[in-house]
Amino acid sequence: MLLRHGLVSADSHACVTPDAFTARMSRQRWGDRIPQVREVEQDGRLVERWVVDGRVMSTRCVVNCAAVMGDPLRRTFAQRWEEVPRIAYDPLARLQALDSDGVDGEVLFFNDPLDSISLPFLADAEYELACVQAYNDALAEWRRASDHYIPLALVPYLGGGEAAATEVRRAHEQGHRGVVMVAEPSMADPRLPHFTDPAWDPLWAVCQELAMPVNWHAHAGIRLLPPQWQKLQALRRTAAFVVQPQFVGDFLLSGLADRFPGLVLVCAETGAGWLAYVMQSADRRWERDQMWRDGARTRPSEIVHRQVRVTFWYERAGIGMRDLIGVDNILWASDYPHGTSSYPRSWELIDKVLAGVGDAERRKLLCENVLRVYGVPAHAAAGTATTSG
Amino acid sequence: MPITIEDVPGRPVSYRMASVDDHVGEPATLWTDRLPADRWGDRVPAVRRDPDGTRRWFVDGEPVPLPVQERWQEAVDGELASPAGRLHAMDQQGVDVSVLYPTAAGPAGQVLGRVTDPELELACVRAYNDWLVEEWAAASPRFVPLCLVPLHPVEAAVTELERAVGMGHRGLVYPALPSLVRADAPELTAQGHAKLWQACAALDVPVSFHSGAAAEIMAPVPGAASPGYAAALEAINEPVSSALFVAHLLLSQVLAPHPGLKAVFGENSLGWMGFALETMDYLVSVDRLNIDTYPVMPSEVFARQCFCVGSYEHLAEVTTDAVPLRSVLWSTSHPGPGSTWPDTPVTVANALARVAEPACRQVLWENAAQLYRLAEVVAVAAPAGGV
Repeated sequence: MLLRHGLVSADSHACVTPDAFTARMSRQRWGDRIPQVREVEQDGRLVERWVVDGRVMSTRCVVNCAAVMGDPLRRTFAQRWEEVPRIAYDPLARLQALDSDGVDGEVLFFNDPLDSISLPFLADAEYELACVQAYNDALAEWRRASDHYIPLALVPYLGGGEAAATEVRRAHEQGHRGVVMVAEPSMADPRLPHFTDPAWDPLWAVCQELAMPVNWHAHAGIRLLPPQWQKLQALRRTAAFVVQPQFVGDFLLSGLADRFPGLVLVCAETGAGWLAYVMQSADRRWERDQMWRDGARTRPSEIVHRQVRVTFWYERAGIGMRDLIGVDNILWASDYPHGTSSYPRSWELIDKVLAGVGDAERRKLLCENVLRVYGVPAHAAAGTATTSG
Repeated sequence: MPITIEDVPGRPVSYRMASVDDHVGEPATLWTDRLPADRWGDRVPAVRRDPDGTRRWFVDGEPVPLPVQERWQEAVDGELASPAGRLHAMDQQGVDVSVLYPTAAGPAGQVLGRVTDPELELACVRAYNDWLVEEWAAASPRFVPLCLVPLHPVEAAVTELERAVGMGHRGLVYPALPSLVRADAPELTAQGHAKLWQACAALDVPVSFHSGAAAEIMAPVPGAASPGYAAALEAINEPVSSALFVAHLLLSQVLAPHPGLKAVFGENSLGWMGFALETMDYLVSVDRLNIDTYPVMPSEVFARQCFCVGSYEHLAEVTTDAVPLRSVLWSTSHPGPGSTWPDTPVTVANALARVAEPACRQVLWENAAQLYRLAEVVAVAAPAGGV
């Protein structure tokens, strides 16, 4: 990746086009179950929505790209595909928009028909694998369009650890540089083993071997907000960012991180500061209960420095705690093109959040860390002050 | 007498410590001694044995699943059960004043809230409030009692709050998710609750929303986990699970209309709070979903009215713009699973390393002293040499 600005987002959202699945899945085999954009009636008017396995995936929009809809209040959402700007879904047009915002590249999470909380493909193993492969193939096209994109693959859950590992290997060959997962599979679907169950070991082994970080995003598939609170939108969205910390303790203390010391966990769109709490709290329990006697060989805070990474966009708290968390473990993110995105004034927000942070640390936070975590080679364009890779 | 942490090399500490979140152990006969058996029979809270021999609290005839029951039960049965034993432990730990929450009644008082008969609920709550003052607060001014109230109706809650404060209680313990405690209990956002918040403000007593009172907002412990491992995960996750109801209180504007109301987030810890507050402000202001309806930013309401509670985190690193020193209280969480006992002096010294002395004093004593009017406690206790 050629760096002109020295800024790479560790959390952005690729928008796959309406033909992503229909062009790649057998109509004869899957018929109308194929994920597709379809006209549906909502509140008495015709709109377009992603429909997966017969289910309409969103009441809000066809694609979540509120930051690029031209509404400074970010209350406007695309109701039909033709309303979606090219700078959301066209990889090359999007790169120009990023460049105008001073952003060099992006780690690509999903967008509609997927989101952080629903797992629409979990019907049966064959259907799930077909959908996952179609998605991974579609997203790999972005990497082929430009090396400024760092795509993250989906993993199939229902086929077991070996099948998941096989798909990760295939995705890696196509250019994916990490995987997106739910924080706790057994909560997403009771048929699935717990995150730390050895049944997943083949998956962790291949992620470790190929240096593919495991990424949790926002809710990470977990619902912990009581239903009676769901109606308050701002609370629903805050909840998306504050449940993930509850799942990191298990990663630190279960022995999983010792079995796979090269397995990296990235917690995206959940901020950074909370990790200072989790690591101190886990260290405290580990010492107090002498948990090394029960298989947790390594001090939790050492595991954090070795294997856990977090992201930030508007947050000053986590930056203030960077000595505890480790300045090498915090990655800048834009959340483009979602509503919380710093686009199109990313550097304004960065200068505010990183006020008082020295140049060497800024470079780590803004681009060197993300490139190292995802193993992406990069060099600075002539005339830029940035060094990385 | 100011405390001195003599056995911490290089750090003589010469200020007082108020532990704002400790738990008292209710004796097995607390309610059976005080409630008429001929009226309530087996519905009175009491300790009985399960068919498998486990000792367990039964409330309104139903077994109570308390987290890490065994460890808490030790505290109830052991020397910490008596005020004298507890004072001795506080002396050893360098704690001058201990603010008391329940154990059997639930860390947030939620267990008695499960009682569906309003008369029985009120009788249970009154018995607890009476007992805490008679047995503990009367034993030493170093104990600061917090009262419980019935969840419903609000008039009964206000009446009991006024009665309890009149007899010496200095705060209210209330579950943050009443409708998860009892289906018909109104949410904190319900209009009726305004009367309770007004009463707290008028009486100048804070309301405490303690962590760990609702399993629904906590990550489930893996099925294969040993009891020790489960307790470790709960100790890490309970405090940070408070994030959901802190956000609920601030984003639903429960606190903002009552600027005189103070809220304490018991056993919630510090490190995650800055991010949570910045998230709320960011969603409200930049990602403008609701800004029209927020005359005051969530973080401003927090700074004005709220307190979070640390016990071992490194204060120098975890306080932020959004979590200023004036919003931080300290505790030993005695004797819960996350307690710093019996290593409080060393733990506090480590946590406050590189923190200037005025800031240490503010967090360990002054903030709590103002909130719970501890100057009165000191004035009363000093002649007897108790503090």
